[in-house]
Formats: sequence, structure tokens, C-alpha cells
Amino acid sequence: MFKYILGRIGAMLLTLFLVMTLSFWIIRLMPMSIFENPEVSPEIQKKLEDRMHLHEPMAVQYFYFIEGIAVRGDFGTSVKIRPGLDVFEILSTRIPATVVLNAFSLILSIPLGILFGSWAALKRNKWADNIISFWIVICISVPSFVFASLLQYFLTFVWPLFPTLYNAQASNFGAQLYSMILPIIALSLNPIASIARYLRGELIETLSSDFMLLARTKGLTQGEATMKHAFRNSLVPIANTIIPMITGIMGGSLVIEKMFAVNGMGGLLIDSILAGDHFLTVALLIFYSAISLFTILVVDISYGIIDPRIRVGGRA
Amino acid sequence: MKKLTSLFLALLLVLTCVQVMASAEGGAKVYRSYMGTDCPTLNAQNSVQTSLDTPTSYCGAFLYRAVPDEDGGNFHYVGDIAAELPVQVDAVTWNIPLRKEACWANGDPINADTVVYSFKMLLDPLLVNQMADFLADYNIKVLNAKAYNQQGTENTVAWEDVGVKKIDDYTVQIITDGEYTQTQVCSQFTNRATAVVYEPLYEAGMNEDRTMTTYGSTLDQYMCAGPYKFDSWVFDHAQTYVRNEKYWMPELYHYDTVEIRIIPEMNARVELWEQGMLDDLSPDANTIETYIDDPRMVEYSSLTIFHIDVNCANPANPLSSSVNYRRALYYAMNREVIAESIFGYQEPAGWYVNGQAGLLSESGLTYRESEYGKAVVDKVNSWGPAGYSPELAREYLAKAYEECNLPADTVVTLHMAFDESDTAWKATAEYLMEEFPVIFEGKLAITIDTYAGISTTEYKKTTDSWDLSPNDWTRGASRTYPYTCFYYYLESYGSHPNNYFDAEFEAQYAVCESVKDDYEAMLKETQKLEEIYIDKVIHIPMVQAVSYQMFSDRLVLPVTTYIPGFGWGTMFGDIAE
Amino acid sequence: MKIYDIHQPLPEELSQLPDEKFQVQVREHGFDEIGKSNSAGFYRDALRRLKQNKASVISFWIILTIILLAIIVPNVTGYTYTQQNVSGKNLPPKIPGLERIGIADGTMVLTNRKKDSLSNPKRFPEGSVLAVVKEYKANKVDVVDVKVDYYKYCKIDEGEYHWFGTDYLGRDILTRLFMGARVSLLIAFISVITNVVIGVIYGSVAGYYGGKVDMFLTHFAEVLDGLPYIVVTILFMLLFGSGMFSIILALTVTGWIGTARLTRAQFYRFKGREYVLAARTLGVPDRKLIFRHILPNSIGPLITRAMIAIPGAIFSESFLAYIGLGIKPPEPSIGTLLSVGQSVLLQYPYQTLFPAVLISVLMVAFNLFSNGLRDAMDPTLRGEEG
Repeated sequence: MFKYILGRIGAMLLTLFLVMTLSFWIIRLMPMSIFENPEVSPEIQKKLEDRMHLHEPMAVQYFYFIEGIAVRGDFGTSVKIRPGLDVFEILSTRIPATVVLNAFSLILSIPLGILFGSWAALKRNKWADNIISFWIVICISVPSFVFASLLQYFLTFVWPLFPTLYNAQASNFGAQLYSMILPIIALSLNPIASIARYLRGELIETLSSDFMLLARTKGLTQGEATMKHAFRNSLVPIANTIIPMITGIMGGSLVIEKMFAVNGMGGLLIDSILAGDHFLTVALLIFYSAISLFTILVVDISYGIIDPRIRVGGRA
Repeated sequence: MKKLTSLFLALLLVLTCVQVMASAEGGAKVYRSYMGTDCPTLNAQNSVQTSLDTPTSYCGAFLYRAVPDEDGGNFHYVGDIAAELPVQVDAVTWNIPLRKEACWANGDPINADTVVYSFKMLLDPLLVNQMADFLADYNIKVLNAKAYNQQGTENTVAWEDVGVKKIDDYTVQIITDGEYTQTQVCSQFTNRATAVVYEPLYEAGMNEDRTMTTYGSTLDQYMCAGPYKFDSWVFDHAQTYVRNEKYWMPELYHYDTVEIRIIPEMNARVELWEQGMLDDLSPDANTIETYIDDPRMVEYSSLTIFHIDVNCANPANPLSSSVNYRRALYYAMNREVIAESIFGYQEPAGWYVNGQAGLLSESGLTYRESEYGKAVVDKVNSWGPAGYSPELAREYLAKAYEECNLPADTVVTLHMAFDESDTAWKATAEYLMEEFPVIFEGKLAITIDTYAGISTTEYKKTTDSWDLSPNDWTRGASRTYPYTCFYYYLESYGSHPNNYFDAEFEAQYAVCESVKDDYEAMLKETQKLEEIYIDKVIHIPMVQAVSYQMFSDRLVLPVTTYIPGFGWGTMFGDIAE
Repeated sequence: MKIYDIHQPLPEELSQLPDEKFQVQVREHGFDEIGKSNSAGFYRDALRRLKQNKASVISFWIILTIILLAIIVPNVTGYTYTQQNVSGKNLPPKIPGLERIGIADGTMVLTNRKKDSLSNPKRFPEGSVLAVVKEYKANKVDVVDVKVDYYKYCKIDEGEYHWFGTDYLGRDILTRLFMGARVSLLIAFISVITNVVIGVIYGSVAGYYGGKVDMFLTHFAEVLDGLPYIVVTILFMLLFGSGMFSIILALTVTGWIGTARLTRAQFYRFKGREYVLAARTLGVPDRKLIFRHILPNSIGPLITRAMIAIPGAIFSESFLAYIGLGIKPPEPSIGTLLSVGQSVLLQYPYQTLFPAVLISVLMVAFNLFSNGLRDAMDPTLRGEEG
């Protein structure tokens, strides 16, 4: 097992390096424009571009890039979004808002998702199940930006119950939390639905399996059997839905954050791409890839523990 | 489940109470405004983003400041760091005496060394600050400044040769490259690029080879000196300023706190405005319809003329080099509809010199209001409303076909390229796409190419195959010298937007430049320049931008009307309760 | 549940049961006869199960209806999707019949109008003002919110109807909406089919050969997957410009990875089976083994997966359009309509409403249908390999 994990970590690092290379080449081969204002004279523009080695061959630039990471741990410096700040400093100003929102959303979604999922499974094909299942389909199907704009339109404009915008600087925590309610709801609908859907499916399968019958035969009540055997068994696979949610806590939602003016991670990558801040874009890509690779690794290892048959590279 | 619901409701109730209590604090005068995007940095020397104007004018200190007159009818300059207006020593030399009481928000003194250091850094040849030109060559030209800034590592121009000198601790001397008025000198030193920088932090942020500084990239690396100081800066969220007790002219300012929220979405701004939580709002093309009649709405012509560049060297377009083809395009634009309905209550413009051009001249007479400017407008309107004339368009297209030896049944498809996110131009392109085949009886068609993530200039470097490309470049200097708005179409401008060069036009521009000190003569020559421009159709003028703004009832503005070059003076406003 | 002893006589309440409590059980389908093709039975079986799922059947009909509407509606509204009338822009919905009961009657409330302008026939043509909703003062000027017949206000001819209103150039939204549905569906179908083809080939090769090849291919997919999906898509859009082709391409860049994984897993499950070994021993070439002997087992899950991917593709397209990377104007898609609608949500909510409802209905229908399909095709319900 240890060897397997080590192998996976090695593979992950290799992948990360490839991602780094790939994103560098893809992004830096795109036309770069650092200056938009025509009043910056072309002479100044050229001087600055020279300083960033923009006129040298790509291979040389790639060398500078790798050297920066390997020698100085310098993943890149923004030139447009926050000129002069390196990517970690930028991240450190963006991550808190996103993490706070997503953490609240997770605190809300996991118990609610489990509650609804198991409720629906236990009342299978009853009206409670039907309502929950329908709600799950709606939450999963309707795009988040439609939901978010509906929430904002009705709950802040037509009936102004909630503040329009997220307020990170509210005078007290209560007011801050109050301004977070809408974005949290908007962020939570999908996770609640996914957890509930997954758990419902798992529980229904487990409830109808043979060992449940055995448990009943040995004298446990339906409730005991469900709690002791079915529930436990279903929660293991659920972990694989929840792990990506936890590691993805720093991701941020583009539309929702923009709509409620949350100063989070959501729009950063897109902004940086659209602004042509290629240095920052590459660094952010590496950051996001590292997160997603880490998630895959955690899920993989947990799979590897649960079911050794599907390890990558093995011959069945 | 019921328990959960009631718990949730109870929580909500508590939160609401907290919210109400929180909002009940009163007494302080708070001005609440917004920005669409945050400032990438607070270093006003090295970012061209206009968003920096706000924090720099509130929290920065300059040599001079524009302040509203007592009666609110106009504005005048007062010394900020300077103790009095510049004193002329000889034709090109100005002495600027400084205040002894000027200091940073932490109490450190501001003196001649501070000013000279700031200007030296702004012009530094290694730092290559993007705003350097705004000191070197804007309203006035500072002696040798441009050469010093452009020399790179060659060391051909020494700092001692540049026209910025310390006379004593409280006097700075500026030597210009030519004769200028006192007003021009003052206005140069109100530009935000010239705000002083705090030496210890500026140096601390400098990298080893002195090519970059992180000054201003965070609040810790920035020092305030203006009437306000930063209370907090949550990036991409809000900037809050409070009064700076150390500031030396507090009587000019009335707000206790200034809150600037960063609100990217227009809908959110409108909601806040409707809820009375913003003190100003600039409606966009979508929202203007709602407020067009609102008595709180004020408007003024801006510096921008939206226009369309025509590629005169598109290998795929047989017509591209023909002047008659460009004339045909010029006449085919129904500017009234485009300005009114698509851009949203803007003004049609079949000419290119903007409505503000000439406002900051000695007499304050704008080019457009002068007899010369009006003559051009009359001429354009004689062809049709704002130059729209389908008959002339067809006539000239026929000539173009003849000139280029194209068979009459050829259909030429024009590529209109613009930034994906530009909704007004997108709508215009869709509109023209339907209109052109009608006007030109099917001979000219339009297809749309969009791009994103790069600027128009960059896009044009990657391809030749565009025909029409919207543009809105403005030249601030045209407020003083109207002819300079044609600057970007000279051969000498590096990032030339349209592959078109014309000797007659260049020559006339040179004539304008040569008579720029005689305003009347310059206007006369500018008329000739504009006529050449229209005759050759160097590009297609479309819409004179009109800026709309609304102010809340509680805000008392210091001016009675919009003052070009100064604005509404919201910074000097007051809050009435 | 109660257990009765078969050797004891039945208790009273059971032996006395009336006849109508009993029901004749008819086996719905017989055992597969030996020698008959198993796979035909499998699909017939799946179809039967699918038909029993009411939600799936309804969803299927909804999807079919929307597809039909997308084909028919743009041709019968009397407008084309590019036809403009700038003086009649942003008209509210007006539907013949419904207008009489006050829904979709082409009226709108204009806010903040100067009171004295109401009498100006140039601003408010005769008969356009229906009622003054609110009167107040702003900056000492009399201001009113006024309900107007917006069609008359814009001097639109009597008898002209736009069921869903018009957009910023006065184009008919109903026509554009279903034209947009056409475009969105087309993008979704083409991209999903492409993804499945690429994914199947890729996954088959990885799964069949295993070992080093598998290692390499899986890692390559992982690298691609490691890049945030939306970013890869956006980069593609930036590189190739907007348009249907580049959206499809962009949706394909990483879209096939899921299918490839699924196919690979299926291969791992089946390639060790005796019948495959037997075929291999008989000298059947790799290509034939892959496509004739192993792949057919995966068709069920693949169809399910493709069905699930379709709403995903519709969502991605609209999301891209929503953040401003849509298809080339003036072509509409549901996403571009939503994005335009969103920017005028507070002024003209109906411009968001109709596309939002359509995309939601479409997504729900596709999801329910593919859920049903998955349940119907799930081999665990039928026992492995039938």
C-alpha cells in the first residue's frame, strides 16, 4: 500500500510538471498585450516588454520560467491585475472570502444533503421521496447562474429581505453573516442535491442487499439495522463526493461571486486571462491544477484502500 | 423538521435585528460611491488604469489641486504641497514654493527633496513607469525629461540636465521646454502621476537591479498624504477613506468618511441606488432608458468620439485601398439611430473633434462651438443627418467598384472585428449587418469576428484580415489643443490603428502644431485638418459620447454645472441630512 | 413480515380470504430461450423498464416537443431571427387572446417620467398612457411612474404581436429563443457524439493494452484533466475566436476524458473473461477483439453517459455565453439570450425569464430521462450479462 501511495505521489508530481509546461506553452503562445492605453507611448511599451524578455524566443522564456520556480520558488508576478505582486500574495488576499463562503456552504450542505438523502431513501417511493427527488433534479439541472439571478432579483430587488451585496467589512460578524446568506444559499443548492442524490442511491442499494436481511433476521429492528449497517456502508462511498468539495473549497464560483461582489477566487483566473496577464494566468493554472491533482490523489488512495482492483496501471 | 425551520427563522430574526442596529449608527457624513474594478496598485506612477484617480486624489498629495470656485461656476488652482501658484522666473523657468507644514499621514515632512525624488523616480529610465509621459510631455514639456526617461541604460542624459531642481528645502524649480502659461504649469502638477511618493517605502519595495518597485501594491507599502487616508482596502471589495488629521487644508473637505465599493455588475449598482445606498450612479446603455427623464440626471459631452477604423491594406478585400470605398462607408452609417437607440441617448457625430476639445484653452471656446467647427458640422449635415446618405453611399461604392475594376455583381464581405465583451459595438455590428445589404443593394455584406483576452492593437498585429474595427481612443491634450485628437493617425505614432498614411494630412497636422500658440489660427487650421480627414475618411466617426450621471438628494455638490476638466467636484461635496 | 409454518394448517384469517383478494400473476416476459441473442433481449428489456418510469417517459416527450418547437417555431412566427426594428426595441410580451385578461398585454410601467411630458404627444403618443401608478417629487420636479401601452408608446402598428417581446434591436425573442434552442441542442449533440467517439477509442486502447500504454494514456488524460476545465475551454475560445465550431471544439478538449475512463474500466472488467481469452487463443486480432467482443458490453453505460453529458454540454455552452464567450452574433443560443437578458434583468425581466425557463425545463427533462435510462440499462438490476 505504501509503495502504491508513493507511486501515486510521484506520478502526481510528474503530472504537475507536465501541466506546468503545457500551460506555459499554451498561454504564452497567445498574443500578449500588457498595455491598452494608447497614451502610453510605444517607446515605453517596448522597454517594458524587453524587461519581461517578451522579445526573446519562447524556449528561452520557458527556461526563465522553470529557473524562477526551481531556483527562487517564484511562480510568477502579475503584470496587470496586481502589478508587482507575486501570485501567492494575490492568492492570500483572495482565498479568505472564498474559503469562508464555501466553508459555510459545506457546513450547511453536508448535513442537509445527508438528511435529505437518507430521508428519501427510507421513505422510498413515498411522497417525501418524490418531493425530495424532484427537488434534487431541479437543483442539479437548473444552472447556478439562473438560480443566483433569481435569488438576487426576488430577494433583494422585488422584496428586499437581504442585502444586495456581500459585505466583508460589516461592523459586526452578524451583519457580515447576514450579507452572506444569499451567496451561501446559491452555493449550497448544488452540493446538497448531489450529496442527497448519491446517498439516496447508495442507501437504497444497501437497504435491499442481503446483509440487511441477515441483520433483520438476527433480530435488529429496521432502525437499528439501518443505522448500524446500511448507513455506515453508504457513507464510505459518499466520502468520494465530499472530498472534492472539501479540497475544492478554495475554488470559488465565478458567477455567484461576481453577482454578489464577493472578493474571492472565482473571477480571478478568468479576469487574468481576459486581461492578458499571462504571467499570473500560468501561475494560477498551476495552483488550480495542484488542487485538483491533490483531490484526485486523495480519492485515488481512498479507492485504492477500498478496492485494490482498480489501481491505475495494474493488469487485471 | 419544524424545529429546524423555527431555528432558522429565529436566527434570521436575530440577524435582522443585528443588521438594523448596525445601520443605526449616525452622525458621521459618509459619501458612498462605487467603482467597476479595483485599482491594480496604488502606485499612481505605474498604472494607466483610471480607477487610480479616485484613491490618489483623496489620499495623495500633489503640488497643486483644482478646487471649485466659491460660486460653483468654475474651478481654480490652489497650492496643495505648493504654498502658492508657480512664480515665473524667466520665459521657461518656474519656481514653486512649498508649504512648510506639509507632511505625510505619519507626520514625516514633505519638502523639496520629496518632490524631486518623486519626479526623479517617475522619470527613471530603468523603472520605465507607464505614466512618465504625464510629467515629461503633457500640458507642458519638462526640459530633457523625455530624453532622460527614454535613455535606458545608456546614460546619455544626466538627471542634473532635467528641468526639475531643488533650490532650497522649500522651493522646487521647473524648467520647461518652451513657453507656457501659469495655468498650464499648474494643471500639469495636478495630474495623478505627479503625486508624491514616500521614499522609504518606495526604496524598500525596489528590486535588486532597480527596475521595479512594489510601492503601493498593498496598503502596507503605501503612504497617504492627502485630505483623506486609507482606513481599509479590501481588494476587489471596498476602499474606505477617513479624514487625515495631519492634512493642512481640512476646511476644503466635508465628508468624514468615503466608502467606495467595487461593484462589477450594473444590476447590483442599480439595486443599491434604488435602495438609497449609493450617492451617485452612471447609467449605462441598458439602464439609461429608466432614468432618462429623472430630474436628478445630469449630462455632458465627453472626450470620446466612438469611431470605426477602416483597414486600408486588407489583402483579402479588393476595395480596401480605395478612398471611394471609405467614403461609401462613411455615408452608409445611420448615426442617429446608432447613437440614440443602440448606444443609448448619445449624440450622432459625423466629425471627429470631440465636444470638449479646446475647453482648457485660454478663452475656453471649444472647437465645436467655434465658427470653424460649426462650418464642418453644417457641411456634414448638408449631406444628410450627421452625414447619413444612402444615395451618396451607393454612388461612391459604384465609383469604388469602377476604380478597383470590380465587376458590378461582385459581393464584398467586410469583416468587422471587436472585443467580445463590447455590447454596444456588438449591437452596432448586428445592426449594420442587416442594414448594409439594403443600403448597398447586396454588394457589401458584413460578417463579425470577435476576440477576447487581447487588446485591439494586439489583435491587429496578429491578422490583416479585418476591415472594420471600432475604436475610442482619446487624447487628453485635445482639451487644450483640439487638433491633437488626430495624433494617433500620424505616421509617427507607433501603434498605428489603420494602415493608412496620407501626406496632405501629415502636412496639415504640422501646420496646426506650428500655430498652436495662436488659438484662433489653430482653430482655423484644425478646420482644414478635419476637412481633409473627412474627405479622405481616415476613419469613420460615429457617436459623440455623452456621459450621464445621477446624484442622490442628500449629496450637495460644490458646483452648479458640470465643469469640463474638473467634473462635478464630488470630492468637495457635502452631505445634507 | 410474518413467517408461517408450512406444516401447520393456515390460520383462520388466511384460509377465509375472499377470492377478489387474489390476483393472477402473469409473467411479463419468459425466460430467454437458449440460442437467442442475448443483447437484443437486453435492449428490449431496458426499453420496457424505461417505459415503466413515468418521469422518463414524460421527459422524453418534453425533449421531443422542444426539439420539434426548435425546428418549427422559427419558421412560423412571421419574423426571422435577425429581423430588426430599432424603434420597437425591448417591447414587452404581447400575446393575442391572453392580452384581454391582462397577462402579456404589451404594457409596461415607465418610472421616473416628468409629469408634464405626459401631455407631449411626441413622447407619449395618443392612447399610450393607461394609468399613473405613482406620483412624487424629485429635485422639486413632479415625477410620475406611469403604465403605458408600450406598443403604442413605440408607435408599433396595431396587430403586431411579439409573444415573448423583443430584444435590444427589436428582434422577436420567441423566434430567437427557439432558434437559440436549435443552436444549443446542435452544439450539445455534436460535441457529445465527438466526445463519445474519441473517448471510446482512447479508453479502449488504454483498457485493452493495459500496462505501460495504459499508464501513459491515463496520465496524459490526467494532465488535461488537471487543468481547470473551464479555463481550457476559454483558452480554446480565445485561440479560435467565437463561433459554433470553436465552442464544439472547446467542449471536446476535455469532454472525452470521462467516457475514456468509463470505457477503460469496462475493458478491465471484461478483458479477463474466459470468452475473450478463448477468442484470443483462436487468434482473433486485437481490433476485432476490442470492437466485436469487448466493446458491445459497454454500450449500455455509454449511452447513459452520453445522455447525461448532453445537459452538461448545454450548460457549458450557456455558461460560456454567459461570461461573454458565446457564438458569433447575430446567431442566438440560449446562453447568449440569457446573458443579454441578465444585463437588463431589472428593467426587462421577461428577457431573462423565457430563456431561463426553457433551459431549466430542457435540463430537468434531459436529467430525468437519462436517470431513467441509467436505471433501465443498469445491469445490476438484471444480473450481470443477463
